[in-house]
Formats: sequence, C-alpha cells, structure tokens
Amino acid sequence: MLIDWIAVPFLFAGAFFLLSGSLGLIRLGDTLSRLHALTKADMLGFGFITLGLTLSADSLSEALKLILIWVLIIAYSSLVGYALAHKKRKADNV
Amino acid sequence: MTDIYFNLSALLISLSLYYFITAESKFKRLISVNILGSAVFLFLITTAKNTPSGIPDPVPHALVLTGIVVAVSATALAFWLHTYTRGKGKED
Amino acid sequence: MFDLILSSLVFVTALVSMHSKKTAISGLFFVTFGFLSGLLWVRLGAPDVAMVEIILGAGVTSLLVFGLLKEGERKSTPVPTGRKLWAGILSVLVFLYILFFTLNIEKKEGLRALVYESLAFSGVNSPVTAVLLNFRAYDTLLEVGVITLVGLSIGMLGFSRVLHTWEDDLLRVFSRAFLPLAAFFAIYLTYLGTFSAGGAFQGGSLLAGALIFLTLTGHRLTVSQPLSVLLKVLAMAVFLGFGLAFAIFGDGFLTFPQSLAALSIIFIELSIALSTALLLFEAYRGAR
Repeated sequence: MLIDWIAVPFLFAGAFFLLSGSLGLIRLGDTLSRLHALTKADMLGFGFITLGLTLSADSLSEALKLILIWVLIIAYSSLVGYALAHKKRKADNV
Repeated sequence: MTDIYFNLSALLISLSLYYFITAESKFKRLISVNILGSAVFLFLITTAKNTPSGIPDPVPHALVLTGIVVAVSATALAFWLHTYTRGKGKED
Repeated sequence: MFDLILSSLVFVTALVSMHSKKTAISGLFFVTFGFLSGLLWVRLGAPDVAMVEIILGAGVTSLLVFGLLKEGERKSTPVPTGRKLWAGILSVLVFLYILFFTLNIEKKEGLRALVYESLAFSGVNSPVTAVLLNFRAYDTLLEVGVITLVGLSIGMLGFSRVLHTWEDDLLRVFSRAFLPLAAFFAIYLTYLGTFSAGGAFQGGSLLAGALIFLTLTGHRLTVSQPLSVLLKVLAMAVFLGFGLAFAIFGDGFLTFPQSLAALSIIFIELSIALSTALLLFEAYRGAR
C-alpha cells in the first residue's frame, strides 16, 4: 500500500522525538528544562505519530477520531505542563 | 503467543508473592498485592486467548473486569482505613 | 518479538517497583507497570479490560499509592531472614507449579462458542457485555454490591484529604472545559458497550477520572449528603429492582425475557455508570 510507505517514516519520526523527550527527562538537570523536553518533544512526537496513523487509517471517521484524541492530548498536556511549571516557580519563590 | 504470557504470569505471581510476604512496609505490601492481582488477571486473560480459533473467550474478560474494579475498591478502602487510623486526614 | 519486548518491559517495571528501597522509585515504576499492563490487555485481545485497567488500575490506584508515599518512607521494619527463606522456597514452588501446569495446557474452546451462539438472545451485540450483564448478571450484581459497600464505608469514615491543589485561576477555568466533554464521552462509551468495546464500567470510570482531574485543579466538588447516598445506592437499587421484577412477573431472578433484554440492560448500565463514577471519585477524594 503506497500510503503506508508515507505513513511509516512519520511513525519513526514520532518515535524518535518521544524517545528524545524521555532522554531529556532523565539527563537534564533542572526541573524547568525537563519540562521543556517533556512537553515540547513529547507533543511533537505524538503529533507525528497521529499524523502517520491518520494517513493509514481505514475510514474517515477513524481519522477524525484520531485527530480529536490529538487535540485533547495537546490541551491536557499543555495544562499539566503549565501547572507543574507554576508549582515549581511558587516553590522557588518561597 | 500465549506461551510467553503464561511464563510471564507465573514469574510475576511467584515474585509478587515473595515480595508480599517479605515486605518492609505497608506501602510495599500494597504495591505487591496490586501486582499480584494484575499477574492473576494476566493468567486469566491468557487462558481466554488460548482457543484453537484464536478468538478470545469473553467469559474470563468479564471476570477480570469485575476483578479490576474490586481490586481498586479494596486498595481505596485500605488507603482510607490507614488514613483514618492514623488520624492523618484533615476534617474540613 | 513484540511480545518478548512487552513482556520483559512489564517484568522489569514490576521487579523494580517491588524491590526498590526508595518509595518514590517504587511508586513511579508502579505507574509505568499499570500503563504497560494496559497495553498487555490490548495485545491479548481484550480492549474492554484494557480500558478499565488503564483508567482504574493505572490511574486511580497510582493516585492512591502516591498518597501513601510519605508513610512508606518512615515506617520500614527489617525482615527476619527465616521469613525470607521460606517465602523464597514458597515462591519458587509456586513458579514451578504454574510453569509445569501451563506447559502442557491444551487449546480449549472454553465457553466462547456458547456465548456467540446465545448472543442473539441476549439483547446486546457485544459478547463481553452480554456475559457481564445478562449471562453472568449475578456476578455483576455482587460486584456492584461490593463497590457500593466500599463507597458507603469510605463515606462513613468522614475524612477528606488535604489535596495538593493548584491554586491558580487559569487552571481552574481551563479545566472546567473538560467536564462536559468527559460526561458526554462517558455516556457515549456506556452506550457503545451494547455493540462494541465499552460498557458501564468503562464509562463510569472515565467520568470518575474527569471528576478526579477537576478536584486536582482546585474545584471544590461538594456533593450534599442525601444526594451522595442516593447516587451511590442507585446502581444496586436499579439492578435489584429489575431482578426482583423479573422474579415476580417473569421467569426468575435476573432472567431477562428476550423482548425486554435490551431495554433493561441499557437502564442497568446507565445506573451502574453513574454510581461507579461517584463511588470511584469518592474513593479518591474521601467524603466531604
């Protein structure tokens, strides 16, 4: 299937970005820089994986559901990233 | 495919049993009980998958569903009884 | 190959979680174990179980376990060597026994054929929901009874946690957007259980997860005492009501007649979803 040949590199790119996000979580020193790695790299990786899965989806409704999941996860993880950074800043200022 | 999951469930059941008996704190014991529960569910669902046609048997799935909900309720009750007997919860 | 990687990941996370001396590492790896075992259920062809495991087993259980983190740090008593010895022998015996038992296990059909044959008479199109709410309805009734008992006992204890809330306006406003979406999806998931993967417990635990998320971001969700007790016993009451009605006017206790099966299952599922949501939410937050 031709569309799978296009989708698979996206999946690999997504996996690579997710892996580098986790690597940043382990290796970086500061909480805030770990949050950078976690939110930005993870969101990018997740976006690529969603793109790859949408391209190789079976039907339009499945692709739309995947995009809805993507939107919800973006919203949720940005909320959580903000919450963690806010807590860290308040803990630092005390 | 089911062979490796049977071996995994045997391994996890025996390991979590060992850690449950020789646990240093209640926290460890709680974790070991939960992992024991998950290992037993793994065993059940693997027997469900172990059919000649490959289509899983739905009856163990229903049993495991019940089991997960009951296990979570038991963990919650354990947590709240512990909090209550220590007097750690704050009355609002 | 994928099975091998997944199994070894599950094994490693479980081992680190149980063995590590630091409670923070234990808790962290326990969360990872929960999510990976959810993946395990998907691999073994059980999507309904995977949904419930990820929300409840990996979500709510991890939250409860993290609540006990500080306690675990302080209270570690050393273990006598004699206990370790006989525990080790016992676990090796159990391991060998299960291994030899499953080595020669044959592929049996089990009850799968019977379920698929009777599926047309059960009123729903999903085999797991048919088993859960029609063929083995008594098990589900008792399960609802157990969770109602636990919920009522937690309510009677009368304590509530001091939660780590984020006192921030942005979070409180933005997290409000999740509740209608989650409520809609929970009802949809409950309805989906009649013909696909889903069902009452999945929808109920999704709603409970959304309510827990709201409490974490600082909303004070107080439920008045009479309403809370009413909602908690609702599932048990509806289920028992249907069972007794069929006992008096029909064929027997919880024997669904074929014409009324679909309707009564929908009612029972909705009530179970509502009650489980409140019960699991209060299991995390405690009574108020």
